[in-house]
Amino acid sequence: MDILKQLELHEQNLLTIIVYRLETTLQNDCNDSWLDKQSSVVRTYQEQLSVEQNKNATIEDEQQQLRDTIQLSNEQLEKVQHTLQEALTNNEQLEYTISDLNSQNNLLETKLFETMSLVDLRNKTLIDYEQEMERIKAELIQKHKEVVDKQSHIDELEQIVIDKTGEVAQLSETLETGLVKSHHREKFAEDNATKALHDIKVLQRELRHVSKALAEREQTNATLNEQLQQLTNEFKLKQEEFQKTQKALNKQLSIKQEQLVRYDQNLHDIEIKSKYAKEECSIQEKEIVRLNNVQEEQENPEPVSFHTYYSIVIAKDFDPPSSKDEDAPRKTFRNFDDTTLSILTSPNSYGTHVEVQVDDVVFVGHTLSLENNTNLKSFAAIAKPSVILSYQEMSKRIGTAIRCEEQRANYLNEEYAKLLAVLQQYDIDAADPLNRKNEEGKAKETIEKLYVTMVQQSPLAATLKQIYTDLQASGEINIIINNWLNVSCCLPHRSIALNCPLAIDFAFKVLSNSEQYLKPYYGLLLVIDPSALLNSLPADASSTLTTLVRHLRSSYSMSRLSIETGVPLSQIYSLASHLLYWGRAKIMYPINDENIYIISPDADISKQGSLSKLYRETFQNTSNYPTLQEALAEYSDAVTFYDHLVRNDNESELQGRFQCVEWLLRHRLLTQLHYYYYLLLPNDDRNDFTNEYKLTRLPRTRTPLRRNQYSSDAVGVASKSERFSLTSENIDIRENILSINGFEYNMASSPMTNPLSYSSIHNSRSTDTLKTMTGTSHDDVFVPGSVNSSVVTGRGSRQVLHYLPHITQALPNESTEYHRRLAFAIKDAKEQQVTDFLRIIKYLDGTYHLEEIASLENMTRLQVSTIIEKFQTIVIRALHCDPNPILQI
Amino acid sequence: MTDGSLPALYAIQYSEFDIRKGAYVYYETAKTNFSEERQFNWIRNFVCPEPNLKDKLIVLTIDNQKLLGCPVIISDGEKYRNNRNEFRFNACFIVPAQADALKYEVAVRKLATYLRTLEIDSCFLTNDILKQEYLKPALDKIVKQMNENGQQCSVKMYSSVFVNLKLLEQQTEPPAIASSDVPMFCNNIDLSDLEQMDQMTQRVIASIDGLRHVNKIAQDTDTELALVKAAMQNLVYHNVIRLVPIFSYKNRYIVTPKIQKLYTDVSLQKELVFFVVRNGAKDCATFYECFSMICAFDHGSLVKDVVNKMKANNIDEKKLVQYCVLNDYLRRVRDYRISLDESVYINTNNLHSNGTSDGNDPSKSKIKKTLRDLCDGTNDSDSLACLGYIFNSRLIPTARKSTQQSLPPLDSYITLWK
Repeated sequence: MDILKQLELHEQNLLTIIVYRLETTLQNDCNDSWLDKQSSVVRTYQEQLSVEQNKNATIEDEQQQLRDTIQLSNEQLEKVQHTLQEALTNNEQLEYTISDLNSQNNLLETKLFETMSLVDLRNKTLIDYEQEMERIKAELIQKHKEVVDKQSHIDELEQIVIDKTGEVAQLSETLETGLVKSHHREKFAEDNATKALHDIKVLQRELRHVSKALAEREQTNATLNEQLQQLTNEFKLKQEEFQKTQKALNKQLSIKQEQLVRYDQNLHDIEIKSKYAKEECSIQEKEIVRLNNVQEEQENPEPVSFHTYYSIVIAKDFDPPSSKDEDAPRKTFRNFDDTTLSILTSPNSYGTHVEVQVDDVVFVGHTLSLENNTNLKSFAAIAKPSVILSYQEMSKRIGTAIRCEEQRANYLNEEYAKLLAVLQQYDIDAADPLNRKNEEGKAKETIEKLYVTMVQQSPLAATLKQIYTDLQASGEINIIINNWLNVSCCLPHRSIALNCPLAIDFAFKVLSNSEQYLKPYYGLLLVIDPSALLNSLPADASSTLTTLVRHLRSSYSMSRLSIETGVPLSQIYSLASHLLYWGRAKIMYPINDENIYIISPDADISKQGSLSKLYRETFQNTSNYPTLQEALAEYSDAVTFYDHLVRNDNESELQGRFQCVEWLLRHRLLTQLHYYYYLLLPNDDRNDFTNEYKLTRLPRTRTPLRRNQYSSDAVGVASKSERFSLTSENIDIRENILSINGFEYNMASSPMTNPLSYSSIHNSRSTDTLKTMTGTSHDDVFVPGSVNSSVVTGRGSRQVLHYLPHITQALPNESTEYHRRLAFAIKDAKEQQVTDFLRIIKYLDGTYHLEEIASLENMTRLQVSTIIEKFQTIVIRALHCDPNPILQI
Repeated sequence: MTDGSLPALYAIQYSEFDIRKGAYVYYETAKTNFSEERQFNWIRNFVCPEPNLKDKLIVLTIDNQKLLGCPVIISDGEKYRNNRNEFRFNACFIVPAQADALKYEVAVRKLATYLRTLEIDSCFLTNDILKQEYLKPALDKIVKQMNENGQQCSVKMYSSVFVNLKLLEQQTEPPAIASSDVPMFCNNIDLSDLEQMDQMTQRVIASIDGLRHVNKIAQDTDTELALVKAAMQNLVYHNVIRLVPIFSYKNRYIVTPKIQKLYTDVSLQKELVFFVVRNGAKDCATFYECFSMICAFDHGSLVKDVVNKMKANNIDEKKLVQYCVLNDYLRRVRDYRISLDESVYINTNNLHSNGTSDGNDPSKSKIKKTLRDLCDGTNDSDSLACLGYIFNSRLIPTARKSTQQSLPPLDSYITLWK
């Protein structure tokens, strides 16, 4: 529309413009030529007008077109309006559905509220429960604390009890020692009394004997007087006879003088013979030194200082050593002539031991030089090396003594001269043609006679003979050479007991170095009567030895003896070894009520045995059993000596029993047993041979299979530990509480030895795992190291780490793995117990017995055994005798 | 007895007697204490001595060496006309002083005899060429072989003469075998050795299992008892078997100090653990179990008590006990019944007369008498059992008190455990 208006306006404008122009042009045409011009202009104007009309027409067309388009758009608008209306209706429908949904929504919301309230209720109850749980937990902790308190209280009580028992033990020990002391005093007094009584009896008896003898003497005196008178009568008669015979003899004398002249003629011949004899003499003289040595073998009917092994064997039967002439070595020896002997005994160098063996005879000697004179002692023996050594020692002593005497008083030369004289006499006798005619058998007798005279003439020969007989009889000599020098020595192998189980050589070695085998807690037991021993001592014997013997009691240890006598222990040792060497004493553990005695395995218990007889003689009139066998029957079971004593409370019987035990010990019929301790961990892998065993026992083909199984075992182990870790994660909710609990439990349970006691309190799974862990150390079944080490690093590592340095200090030679296992094994015990245990742990290798440990650590037997009892699982106790060889001699 | 590093034989010294020089050393394989002039002057008289010492073993000791010789004198007026009608020589062994001279005696004597025979047959020792060519290397070889083989040698001396020498270890006489002894092998025996043994031994050796005693073996193999005993004695001598007491669950044992060695020696522990495994057991027992079981024998406990107490399933107690006894870890505590009849002490003949007068049944009284005689402390229950007397274990009389001794029962016995 607007466009149409614009078009109309535009046409009007154009018309006005044209009109104006036309007017203007008309004005202009009014002049001379204007008309033409006007006409052209009118034509142009007309043309323009047509153009304008054309234009107007196009605009009208355009106008028309625009109207069409308007029409069109109007139509379109209508269409749009229509669609709008449709949309509106749709919209309405949607609104309806929305409202529906809204209502549904409301419903839902109400339901939601309901559920919310329910949830709230639940939550409330949950919280209640939790609170209740908290309360229960608190209660539990409270109870646990109470239990711990009670436990500690119990421990205190236990400690008190232990202390009390210790006190009681100490008291009882002091009581016992007091009792024993009083026993001893009484015993001593009684001994003295009985001795005195005995002495009185003996004196009375002697008195009676003396008076009897006196009366007899008087009687004999009277008879002698009578005889004297008879004899004087006879004498007178004889004198008369004598005078008669004298006359007859005078006659015979004249006849003899005639014979003498004839003998003078023969004298020259005899002188020649005697020269010959002198030559022989000089030969004999050369051999005299050697004969001196050998004479002891030949000088008596049972010659030869053969200490053959046989004679030792014979001596073992308590029989006097009998010499058998048919012994092979004796024969050999007798077959040697003088020349051979002189070769055999000629020394090669001085100051050394000489040992020459021919077949089965050994010459043993020691050479000493002496102013170009040699002195060689020789013995013939078949014996072991040690015996030879002791013979050598003895021969050296005798030789030295003789040399001293030679230097002091020219002893040897004198004796030499004496013997030479005897031998010369013998040679002269032998050279005598009258004697030569004697039979061969008589020659032997004369030799024997010669030796007898030699012994009579020469003290040296007598001494040598004495040495020989003493050695044969007892194995020891105690002689005085030239009434001046005392020589005493013994063959120790003869003082070794007959039923000694040791080899002679070894026993000799022990005897020679006995001081290093002695221990301060050993005691001494005299084998012979003390008074007899004191009497047998030489005059210049050490006074300490006398003191020692006087103070000796079988219940005293050597350290105690040292205190009682004031003699240093080292001196006691040397005296004891001296007594032992001489077979006068025996080393043993002091007799104590706690001792355990059994019958010694090599004891002679037969009824016909010599000891059986000896027993009956010794204990004939005492309260003891009448037979040895019955006395020994008491010791058939390994029970403490105390248990035997209990049966008799009578003092005298007790005394008798004590004597009986001493007697039995002296004769080596009893052996003492001791407790030895061996520290042994059940899970020590050094002596675990399971793997090796499996490898050796299974056939080759199956080995890989087994290995598989083995690896699966390892897997099983691993999974087990994993399970442990999983369980600990499972109880993660209460992680904090539990860890605190666990810690407390750690502290609380450490004094408890029994894992079961606390398992009832804590029922959680963690305690179960702990129980299995602690159980491993008590279990007999071997536990693989991996599990164990993981355990160590886990719980209980505190104690383990705490004890480790102590253990390392106590057992420096063991591996650290062993230390760790040990620490793990003992960690459950009380601190104090472990400290005590570690103190004595170094003794638990089976080389120390209970008494020794007690003595070394200055504790009582009870204390030691109490400490060890706590660790029964790792300390094995064994009962056997002391292997120290000195106790068996 | 070669003590560790010491050789068996230092040297052999061959010496002769020469009318001009006297005794002199012709050859020695090595220098010794006895080779020096000064020393030899002294021993000269022993090496080639007077006739009274010929063929005797002579032993001399100087410092740490020992000379063993057996002087030989061959008298022959024809052959040794220029040499005082005799020829003296001696081949001496020089050995360490610690060695046992008796061990060498046989070898020394044998060598002397060889040389003597060679000399008589072929003038081996008087012919210088032969001596030079054969004797010296032969002696060298003997010493070398002796030291290498330890105990024996076999050397070609001359032409076809071989010298075989062996040192004999001194063995103690084997003990008499009792019927109640149980033989047990010391080591694993080599079956090839078995073939060399005599028939008797082969027959018997199969029955040795560590449990059967000699009497039983004789019965099982149907052999005479004395022969079995002889075979066993032989085996003991050769160190193949050792004798242990019979195993019984009623036995008592006691630990010996030797277990200390077991405690320290791991190889012994291993041997023990492997040995004592029960047949059919899957696993071997631990040493801890074995050791605590051994230590449980305390003189008083019977084997059955120990077994009940320990309850070790993998340990065969028979094997354990016998093994420990074999190796001296345990000692059997034997029981000796002793009759308390006083008449035994006074007069055994008296007892006999009493027995016959009292006993109505002569055979019964005879048994009683003999039993009473046997129970004198020399026979333990094992030997009595082998003789046919078995005691009821419940009738063990305890030691009676002194008050009761006035009236001893007629047939009362006490038991001593030792």
